[in-house]
Amino acid sequence: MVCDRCKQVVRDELEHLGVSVRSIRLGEVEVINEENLEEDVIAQRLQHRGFELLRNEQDWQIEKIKRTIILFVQESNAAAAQLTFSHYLQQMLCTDYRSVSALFSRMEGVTIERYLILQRMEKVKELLTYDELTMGQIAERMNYRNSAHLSTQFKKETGMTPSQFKKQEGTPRKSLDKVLS
Amino acid sequence: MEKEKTILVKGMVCDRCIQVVTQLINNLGLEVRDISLGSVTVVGVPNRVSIKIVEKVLAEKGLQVLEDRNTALANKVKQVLNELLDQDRVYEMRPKYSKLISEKLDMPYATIKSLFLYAEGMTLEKYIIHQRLEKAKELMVCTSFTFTEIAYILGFSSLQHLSNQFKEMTGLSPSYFRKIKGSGEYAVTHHETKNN
Repeated sequence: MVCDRCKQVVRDELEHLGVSVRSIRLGEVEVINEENLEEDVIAQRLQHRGFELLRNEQDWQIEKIKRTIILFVQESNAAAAQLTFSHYLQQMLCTDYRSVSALFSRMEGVTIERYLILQRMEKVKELLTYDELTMGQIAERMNYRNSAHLSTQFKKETGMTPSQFKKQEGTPRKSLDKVLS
Repeated sequence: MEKEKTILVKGMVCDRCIQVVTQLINNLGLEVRDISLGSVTVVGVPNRVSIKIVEKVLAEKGLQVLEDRNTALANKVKQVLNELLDQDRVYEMRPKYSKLISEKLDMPYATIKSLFLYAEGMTLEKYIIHQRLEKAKELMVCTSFTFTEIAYILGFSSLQHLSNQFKEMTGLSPSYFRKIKGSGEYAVTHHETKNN
């Protein structure tokens, strides 16, 4: 789950199955009438929409890390800029960065830093397609030192310069839950 | 062939966004020809009204229809012009709307003009004169200003100038217009461009 539409879809699907939702956050749903809960049915329905039910502690941890990263990138703002990413993550998850990082690498096969870069690149692509902000403004918003730094990273990650990307027809953006694939 | 329109959508980030947008558009009885993160091509959006509806249903889900820069500017120009005309202000000097708009938007008039043309398919001059004449109609019917005063308020150089322009647009003389419309109720019709 990565955005408000995901929440909406999960809520709709569960209510469709007669499950009352008490509260919903990215990655978590709290339901009321547990007797209606048939995990397999729910899992199946959600899978249909591209979700997966998390049944063990580690998957759950990974999901939490990813969600935190997505929020960090999506809402990259002044408050977040005060903190380095590792501090932010530590604060949000209340765990030590090294163990989080080790767990992530082990489970996902890429480092947390790589994942962060991929998420940031998707956000940059998104902002570029809107054609509302200049590169300088995007760099500032995404907490890059300057637009040159951003351009260099963008080129390295996508093989295109930001202006090439903009000119391209049918911009290949990725769903935020699929940046690794 | 049915009309196609690509709508740029702000805020789409994942596959669920695509599902939700597709569903919303289908619920409106429109067909989605193509969809990707950030844009959807819809078949059968004939006019501005249905775009507004699409805008509304998307907004309910936290998504926003994105105007391209030119359209955004053209809308801003229209808004500024309407504000200027609605002030009913009597200027010391004859108002020059091109200059006023350019000042308000803090952009060279030449730039505004060409972007407006690009977005609207009509020249800004034509649009301005049209809006002034619409305003003139309103003043003729709803107030007791003389034609000379109206000409002055709206920046025409003379009564003659106003009459000529008025006649060109409506085919009627101002006095005849006031006579036939003055008695009944008159609603201001705002100008809509035809190419949308």
